[in-house]
Amino acid sequence: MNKKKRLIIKLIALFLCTSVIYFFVYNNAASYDDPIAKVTNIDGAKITAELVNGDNKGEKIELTHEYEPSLVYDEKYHEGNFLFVSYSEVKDAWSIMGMKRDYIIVLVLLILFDLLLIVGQKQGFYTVLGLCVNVLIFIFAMSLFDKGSNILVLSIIMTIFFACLILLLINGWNRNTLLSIFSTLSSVLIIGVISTLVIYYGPEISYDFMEFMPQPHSKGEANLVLISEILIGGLGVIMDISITITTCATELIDKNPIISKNALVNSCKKVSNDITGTMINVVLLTNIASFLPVFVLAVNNEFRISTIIKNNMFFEIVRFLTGSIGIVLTIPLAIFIVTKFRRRLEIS
Amino acid sequence: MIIILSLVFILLIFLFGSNKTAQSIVTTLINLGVFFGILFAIFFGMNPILATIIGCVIISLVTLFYQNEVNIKTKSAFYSVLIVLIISMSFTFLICYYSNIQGFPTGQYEIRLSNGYSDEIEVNMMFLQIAVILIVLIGSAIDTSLAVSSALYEVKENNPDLNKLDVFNSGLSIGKGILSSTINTLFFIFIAEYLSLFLYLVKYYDFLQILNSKEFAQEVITISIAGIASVIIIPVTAFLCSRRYK
Repeated sequence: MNKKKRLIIKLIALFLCTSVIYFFVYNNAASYDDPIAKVTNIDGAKITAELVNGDNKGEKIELTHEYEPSLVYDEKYHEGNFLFVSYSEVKDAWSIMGMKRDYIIVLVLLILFDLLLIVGQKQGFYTVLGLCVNVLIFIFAMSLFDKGSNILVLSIIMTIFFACLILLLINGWNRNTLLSIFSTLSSVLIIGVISTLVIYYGPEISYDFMEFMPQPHSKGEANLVLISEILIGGLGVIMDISITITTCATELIDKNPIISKNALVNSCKKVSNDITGTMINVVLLTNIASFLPVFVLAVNNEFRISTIIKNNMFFEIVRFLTGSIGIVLTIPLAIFIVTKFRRRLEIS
Repeated sequence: MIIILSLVFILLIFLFGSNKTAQSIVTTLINLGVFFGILFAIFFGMNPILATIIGCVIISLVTLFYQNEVNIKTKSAFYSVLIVLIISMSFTFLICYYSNIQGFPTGQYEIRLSNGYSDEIEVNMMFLQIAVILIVLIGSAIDTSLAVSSALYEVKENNPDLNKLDVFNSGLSIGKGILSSTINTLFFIFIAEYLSLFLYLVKYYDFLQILNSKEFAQEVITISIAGIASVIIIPVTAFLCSRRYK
């Protein structure tokens, strides 16, 4: 009964925290310098909105907004949306500059974190903690990049940091964690080397279609970005596989210290075979999904399908393949590292 | 480059993989085919959401029943995936409706009006964004669900006198163990996918602009909803399994 009570108190506390955070972000217009208006009524292209910050707070303003129904570049507003607006003295009218999305992002993140805490409890907390720290590290790395640091060097440092931090959080400081970190990093290193060789010695890559590459950029820079993407993109799945295998192997050795090497390898293989398929599937779907709008837009604009796939899907497929290579490679590598480690233990 | 990497991939599978790994390549190819099926169905005028749902169901069927086999474990996982798909769809719709994260930002390099892309197309981009989110979440949902349902099966097999509540609780604790790695897998794939976007954003925007931009919101919301689905599916699968395993 006591346990149940504690759980209920925890849930209420969590709910209160979430609501307070959301409430503050929802009403944070005052912290912005740009004027923000809340949409109160929409009539065709005419939007009535109320200013929610600045000196004229509470004033009703009229806006006009037209959009293409396909919404490829345009936005369609609804009552309750917050818009960044600006006033032009020349035209004596307000116009829309953009949309305020911070509270929606915060809402979705809060729901994710709450669910992680409720379902995962202690592990959920560590997951949230790991995510937050990783995001901070990532932001820090981005600011260093902005100041002119080499992106590949930053990514390599980040990869090592991410791997150590997450595996320590999941597993704690023990033999398992060291083994997983070791096999994760060696596997990431190998896919990094493979892709670097292919990038520099394989057929030339055209970066014209790499989304959002800051312009202008040199080929060398683009290569470094691609290698960085491959390293970080593979990290998640590789960690997953290494941790599964090392945990399984140490479990087997602990239960039966004289287990033969063959039996150990076979059991580990069995376990990893069960997860490989769905893992490869996750990597596939996560990477290619964002291609959908690009494809539909391009096909509707009468681009040839083969051209679209060759140009716009190229990097998605590259990351899928390197991720999958990472999965297939990590299995024997992790098993090898575990058996190596064990032999050394026996000698000493 | 793609050809070389594919060759490396296939070579590795022949070296280290088993029959089951080879089977997972076939599954991957089928799923890739289903993905293009969705693309063409939308292109030929089918409702994007409907096309995606049918596609997601086929992907689940193939991944669960072809790659593994038809048994009570995969069946339970399949029903859980369906339930979560329905829950997430309504949630995704609401969020996309209010957040305007569909389509392309005007700053994107290759796809814009001046490059000859017209935005007068028949398809509503908001539905496409929902479709993207559903395709991302179906992969991790299947993964998590199958992991929970097959582990629970072993638990029930070894302790037949566990009651329904015990099975449910044990499902939750199995879920806890895999939660972190699923979330991290998603997180890193997304960071990698949008690394160039981040490089672009820090170069041209300040922090508050990034936070409110369409590009950033699109990415964070997509990954978070996928994460939410892979968390929700744990209790759903645990519940279904506790009812079905006897």
